[in-house]
Amino acid sequence: VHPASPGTSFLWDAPVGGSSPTGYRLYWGTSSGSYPNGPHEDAGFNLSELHNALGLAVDTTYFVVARAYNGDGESVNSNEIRVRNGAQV
Amino acid sequence: MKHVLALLLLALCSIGQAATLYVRQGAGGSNDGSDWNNAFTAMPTLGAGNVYYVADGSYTASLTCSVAGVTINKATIASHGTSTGWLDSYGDGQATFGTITVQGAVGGTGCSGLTIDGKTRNESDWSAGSAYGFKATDISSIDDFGSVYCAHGLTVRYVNLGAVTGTSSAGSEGIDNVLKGSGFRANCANWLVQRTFLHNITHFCLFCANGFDGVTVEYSRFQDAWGKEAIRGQIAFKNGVIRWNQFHNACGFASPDGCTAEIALWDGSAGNWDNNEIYGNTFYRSNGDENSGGTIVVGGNGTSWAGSPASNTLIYSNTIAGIDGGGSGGNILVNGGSGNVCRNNLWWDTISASVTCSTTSNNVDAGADPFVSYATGNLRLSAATAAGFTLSSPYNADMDGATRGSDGTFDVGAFEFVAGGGSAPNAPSNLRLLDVGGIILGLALLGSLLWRRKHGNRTRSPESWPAWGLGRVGGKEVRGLAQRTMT
Repeated sequence: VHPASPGTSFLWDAPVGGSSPTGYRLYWGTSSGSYPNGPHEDAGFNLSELHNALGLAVDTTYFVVARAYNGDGESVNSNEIRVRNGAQV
Repeated sequence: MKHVLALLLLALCSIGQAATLYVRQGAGGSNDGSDWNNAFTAMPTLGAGNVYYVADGSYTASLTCSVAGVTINKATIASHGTSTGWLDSYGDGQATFGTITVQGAVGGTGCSGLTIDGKTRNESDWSAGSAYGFKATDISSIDDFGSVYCAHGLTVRYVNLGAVTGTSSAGSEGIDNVLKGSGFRANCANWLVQRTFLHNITHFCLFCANGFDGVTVEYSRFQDAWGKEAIRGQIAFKNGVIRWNQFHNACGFASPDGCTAEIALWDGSAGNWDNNEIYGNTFYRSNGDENSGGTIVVGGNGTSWAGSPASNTLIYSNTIAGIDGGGSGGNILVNGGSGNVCRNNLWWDTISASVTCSTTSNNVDAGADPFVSYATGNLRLSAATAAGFTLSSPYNADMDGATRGSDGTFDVGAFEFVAGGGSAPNAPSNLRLLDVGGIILGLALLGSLLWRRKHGNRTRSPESWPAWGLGRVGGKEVRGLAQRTMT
């Protein structure tokens, strides 16, 4: 991780229906559909709040997804977004 | 000694001739493939031992390989060889081909050792065809009735093979078999099919006219194939591994026309059906179509299930659901032989659920829907099953990577039950980056309103603006926002 990486904050919409999440996790990687990094999670983090930065390296494009979880397991992936230098691309 | 040195020198020269080359539709430059600035604009004639990186785009309708040791990689942002001339936009989509023809030769040379690796797909949805790095209509060893041997050592990874997803009219797809070795001398040895999508075709998804020896098929999805078996072993199918795959309406489109079985390894003589392992797969049918023979059939002489025994077959932990048919559509049949073991298989809503196998145990026909969502084809367990037979590695993992039996119960079927499974939340949606500019603008407007409320319309100096307190939102510190604001 580059020490000068810009922070990046994420938003998402809470899942509709189903069991209630107790938190969310972010996963990321440098190839679409592959997210070997993570999870980055905050157990007290709920619904559509801001998420702390992942400390992504500069000049690298990342593919990021979110998952909801609770004591019974983890959801499938959210939509994937591409992030580069702190901006969605 | 001189001969040895000469051979070594020859070998080194041969190694030295291999090259890494680049292909991108629409590239400028000298079109010699030396880097991304000078990439080939179309697939060139393939050279022995060469590695090709292929950018997003649409390439030759028919690509032929007739030399050994070729690797064709999808160029991705993470892996694209040289960075000279590279742009990430070259590697964030799909590269498409028509037919890829793989020419073998007597003795298994020719295009042996070919690797076609699309590098990416959506691991959460194996049916998402556009997410595979490569798309091709089919990969064929040689045309039907050709006289060239099937190429040995073929590796296919992350490739979407077939017609347009959603094609549903029987036989109208125009593609025969999507991954095949055809021709009367096409014996296919040491194939690896991994994380590949085979779908919407007229006949077999995976087929070799003169038999397979040593094929492994894993983490792949077979879907919407019409009329014939998804995996067909003809003449021979031995030393094979078929594991952790999804078969979803994988043979038979139009009810009640169906297929013999999703996997049928039969139609040959004794000794050609031995040492196969089939485990951790899901077989699911939602279209009411029928199987005439079973779901998994190993052995048989082609006119009946008798007459050509199979030995040392292991069939473990498969889930079979929704299979209709003429009385035996859901069955597992291993014909005769010795050393055949079938354990921990799970059925639900099938016309039949019997096992013919020399050793059987812990096979379960569920009395109630055991799945997270049968209607949508999610065959993960909603509750623990009756205890299965404890199996060792590699049979103690499921296609999700869960270790089986870690909670004390080795569940039956393709998936291990995860505590509380079925009540995990749904996925969040609309993931996006925070619009910092919008928030700052909003807070600025709020600050301005507060200033005016307190001080009227007097002009203020920038130094008098309040500290925004962006460090906390909703009681939580927001370091990411603060960092972005500063950069």
